[in-house]
Amino acid sequence: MIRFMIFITVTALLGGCAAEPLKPWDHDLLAQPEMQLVPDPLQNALDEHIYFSKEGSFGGQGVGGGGCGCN
Amino acid sequence: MQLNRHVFIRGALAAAAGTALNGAAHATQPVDSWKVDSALLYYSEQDRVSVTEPVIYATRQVNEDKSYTLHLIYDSMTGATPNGAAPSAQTQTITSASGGSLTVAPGKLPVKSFSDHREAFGIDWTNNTSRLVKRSSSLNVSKETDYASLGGNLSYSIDSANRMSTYTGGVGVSLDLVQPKGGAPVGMQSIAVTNTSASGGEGFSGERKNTVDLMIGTTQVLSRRSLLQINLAHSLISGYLSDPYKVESLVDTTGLPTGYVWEKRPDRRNANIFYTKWVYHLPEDVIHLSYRYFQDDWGIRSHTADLTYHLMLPRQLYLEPHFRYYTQTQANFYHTSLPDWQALPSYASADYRLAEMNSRTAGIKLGIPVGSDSEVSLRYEKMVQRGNEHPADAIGTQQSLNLYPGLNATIMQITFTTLF
Repeated sequence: MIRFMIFITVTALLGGCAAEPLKPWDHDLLAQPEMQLVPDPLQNALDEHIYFSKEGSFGGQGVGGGGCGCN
Repeated sequence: MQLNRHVFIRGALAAAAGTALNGAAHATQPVDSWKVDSALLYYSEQDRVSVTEPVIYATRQVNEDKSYTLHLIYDSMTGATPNGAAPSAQTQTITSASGGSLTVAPGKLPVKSFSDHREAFGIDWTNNTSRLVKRSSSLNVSKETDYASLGGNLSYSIDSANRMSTYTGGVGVSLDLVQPKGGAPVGMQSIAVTNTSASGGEGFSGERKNTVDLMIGTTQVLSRRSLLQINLAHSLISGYLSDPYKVESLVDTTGLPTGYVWEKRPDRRNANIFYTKWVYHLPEDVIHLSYRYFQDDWGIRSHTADLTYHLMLPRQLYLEPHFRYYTQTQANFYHTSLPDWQALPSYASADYRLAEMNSRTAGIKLGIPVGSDSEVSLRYEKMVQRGNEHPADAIGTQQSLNLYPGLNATIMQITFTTLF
């Protein structure tokens, strides 16, 4: 399974985007706060902390946060 | 985050047209401004732990290319947490060498009361090192009564010349110290015997736990309305990875406890994580949908799906329903208890977080603008965890007991955000 996911990631990394490039003025929607990958970093950090302390998995969105004795 | 939408959009449009990073993944805050988020989180489990957590995030936009964020977090935790011992068909008394004694009624899950607090401080820096390259780094420290952590990370993001793709690579390191009172117990030894690790006792400085995270990823603009992020991460954790407060029951052929040993986990853990997120702008609303696949060499495989729907309402109000589903397999050394007539395995843990289980979260958030530069948001969520209540390896009388009582938690949060 993870090999398949590595394949997808590497393909995405190498392949780049097949979509037609947008003009600068077409970035209007993408520039909105709620279109950001993490629109609310504070809430995201609180949630990740809760899930990390209550489940056997972690990570995926980035690298390293603060450690915690909760897990 | 609806705050000061017009200011953000104006800044981001300028960014998209020229200087700052791709409009795809970067909202700009006005230069020379502070954005302060202050939140109070209340997390409460039915019959178990409750946590009160005030948090402040303050972001300074120094100029068009540089910003930094300071975080300050205080956790106050209190309540009862499962100590690992299995429920028993008869009253059981769990007595450790340190003198602690716990009497548990038949069929009840043994829990240990505790109270602790945690202070954490962090700083993130972000700056554009050239027209297409952004560097992000952070430093985090935290301290609990029996745990300390020092962590840092560094990542680079490079935009393609046409701003349709961003490629990211990062590394993070965390150096932690596990400092249980009286020393860290030796795994798989009886809790009735005084025995801590070599570094325990007088002057015990703690056991080390180190984490290294590596990540590569890409974000692609799929269209004017959509984005796709894909990340691949690897984590290596080494050192003292056992929970110094958790025990494992030894039971006889009838399923009744005859003793308890400290749990023990391997001293290394390798994890691979695949993460993808799709963001789509409907005519008015925005959908965030993510999926994560996690696997490690402890035998845990998990799937996580997460959906947030940002529903725009009149007067710049918004509602955000949120759903999350999580499911995992058990670690290969997870045992609800061990048969006392067999030799002890090298590793064993009855920690419910290493069991086969699933977790569902549903919640809603309401955002209310206050003036032109501030916002209040209220969030309410429920989290329910369920596992295998009657595992196949239950022994004798255990077969009629609920060996995974599950968890019901409520999450409430109020946040005030302002820009000045």
